[in-house]
Amino acid sequence: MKRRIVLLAAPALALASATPALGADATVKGLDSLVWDKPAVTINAGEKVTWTFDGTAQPHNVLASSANWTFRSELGPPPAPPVSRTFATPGVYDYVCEVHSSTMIGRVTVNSETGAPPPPPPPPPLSQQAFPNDGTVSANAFEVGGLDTEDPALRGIAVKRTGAKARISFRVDEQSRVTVRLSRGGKRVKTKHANTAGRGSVTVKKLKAGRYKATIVARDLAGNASRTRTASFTVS
Amino acid sequence: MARSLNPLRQPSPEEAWTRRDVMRNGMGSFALLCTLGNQALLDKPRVVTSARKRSQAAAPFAPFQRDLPIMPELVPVRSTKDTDFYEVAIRQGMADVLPGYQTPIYGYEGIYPGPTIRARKGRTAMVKQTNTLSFDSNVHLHGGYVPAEFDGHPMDVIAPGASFDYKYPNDQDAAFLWYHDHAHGRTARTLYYGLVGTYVLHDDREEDLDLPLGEYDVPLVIQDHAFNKDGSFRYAENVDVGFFGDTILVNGAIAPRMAVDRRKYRFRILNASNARGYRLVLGGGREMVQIASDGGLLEKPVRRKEIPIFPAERVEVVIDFAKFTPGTQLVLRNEGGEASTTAVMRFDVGRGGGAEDFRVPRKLRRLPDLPEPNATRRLDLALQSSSSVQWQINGRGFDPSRIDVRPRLGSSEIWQFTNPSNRVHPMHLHGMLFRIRERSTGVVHRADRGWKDTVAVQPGERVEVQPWFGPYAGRYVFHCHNLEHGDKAMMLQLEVVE
Repeated sequence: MKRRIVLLAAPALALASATPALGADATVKGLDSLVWDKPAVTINAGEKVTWTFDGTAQPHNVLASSANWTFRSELGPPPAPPVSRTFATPGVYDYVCEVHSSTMIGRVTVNSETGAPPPPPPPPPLSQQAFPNDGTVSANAFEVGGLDTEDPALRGIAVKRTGAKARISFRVDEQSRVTVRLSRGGKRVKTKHANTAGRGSVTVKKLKAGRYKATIVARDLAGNASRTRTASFTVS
Repeated sequence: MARSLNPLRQPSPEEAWTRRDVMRNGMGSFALLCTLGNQALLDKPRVVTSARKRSQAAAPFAPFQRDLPIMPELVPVRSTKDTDFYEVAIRQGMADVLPGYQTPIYGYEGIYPGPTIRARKGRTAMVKQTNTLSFDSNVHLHGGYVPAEFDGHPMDVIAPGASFDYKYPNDQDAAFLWYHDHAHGRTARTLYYGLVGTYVLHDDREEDLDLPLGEYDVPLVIQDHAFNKDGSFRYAENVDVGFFGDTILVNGAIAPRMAVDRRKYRFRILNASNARGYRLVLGGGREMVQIASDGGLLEKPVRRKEIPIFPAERVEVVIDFAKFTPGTQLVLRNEGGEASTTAVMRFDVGRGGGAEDFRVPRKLRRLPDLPEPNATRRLDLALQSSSSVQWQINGRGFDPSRIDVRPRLGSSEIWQFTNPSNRVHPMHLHGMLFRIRERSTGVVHRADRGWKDTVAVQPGERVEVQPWFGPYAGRYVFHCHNLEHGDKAMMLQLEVVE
């Protein structure tokens, strides 16, 4: 117990007797870009940190964010007046701007009077350590592939006629809507559609006697059309 | 001792963090003793062992690792001739967000995002919400014509352990609505930790238009998040700019991918982020056809290559994948953010598609004319700083005992949102809709001329809107939907009187 009192008293004694070297104090400037100009400064025990907010148009202040100190400077209409704090005890002191605590994060490391660094603070638990996103996608990978501008290939046209019925078969090399138009004597008499990828056919029934011309075209999902194919047959 | 606690009680997101720290950092036995009573600690730690998960965990933030999750649809517990009854528990849960980790959340039915409610115009939905959390909650149906007592006013809360029956008449045209927590002062955290869900209201009109349905009608909930090393959501308050995360989640997955057929899809996009606005671009600048905004269908579709969307806004687009070659990959990307928030999701175009005759109609619907406005009101949006900092409207913060605007039911006014600040303010009106009349920064985009419930007032901008005060009388609020702003009282109260 006695020893603890001595330990607590030591910094106070140090503060009383300390005569900080001029120029060793630190100045940190709060910026409207919502960061501190120096996010980390190091001083010796007994020296002073001054925070300034010259030229800012937004409200800022200094608020202690580690458990080893309490400090809060006044919030008011910007620009906030400068504030100072003398640190008597070696240690690591964290602070934020109360208004912008997610980005204006600062740290004061206070060495001993002789310049010996303080013991590092214990690492924060995993639940308080940022897990930053390192997964990005390169700007030239926003689109792979692109518009389908290739016409479908329509091949293998064949007509099989049985009585008044005709089956027109064909083959396309990609998913397409195939349109078959039948005309007789120059006049269109039937139009049939089929959706297929690969082989397909349409069947037309109840055809009257005559000479027929089948005009066949395939249109793919993107709307590209194949070359038009024709076939002729006769219904007797 | 350990068994005396309620075994059903799950750790809150905050508590869960603490416990994991104990587990993973192996801290002192004293801490361990103190938490022994906890069911979560008695649970086995969730170690993921499959090789696939491990390899994913090596690059947990790599985009396009996961298929787009689709929120489950809430099934009515019973239905009558004109009403569907639903029951929802507001509770804690765990979400699979980062591969190899579990993320504690608050969720409707314990999932994030919450289940989708599909409602139909003319059929009432009764949703019994039971608050199993340790603090007040409530539910606001954002964009809905809802009687004041069911609106989710910030002061009408459901106490821990209590339930409330929300009655949604669904007496409005089809629209993409959403439901979320609205207990005052907490929404920045509760929405961030998962209390968001989509509410899709259908009607005959959209069926007549033959718009894509079923698996081709896809809600997309976009939220930005950040993570801690234990896989929990990381939240850092910023009362001025609001929360900005470094990772984009769509339907709860990090920049997912979606296999699409070669045909047209309807995507209903909701920006459920606390503060982040997005500028969405498809692939190398491919066309999206916007058909609807907050309050439902536009009058005419609008072809767009870039779509800005701010917090709480909804945009519905039809994307035609038929014109792309099979194997094409199109990244839906955010042009308005940093490198890690660029990838939103990716569409992988497959071979299939088949016959589809649907074309987006040239006319979608006719919007009714608004009554002549009988007042003009200027609403200044500014940050006040004295001993503390507060975003305010006309120099006022939220005071539930004060009514700031008292319009007559069925009337209309002109509201001029004036934003001299350097932040975007997505201004939202509860229970009613408005139309945007004028913007000081240029013409009102054709896609913003439909019914709206949220308008993002840009820095330095003046936006003139015309709300229609109806269809219900009562006490509502309007507020900034940058959640940190709204929580810090950037909210006023209106009472629609008969």
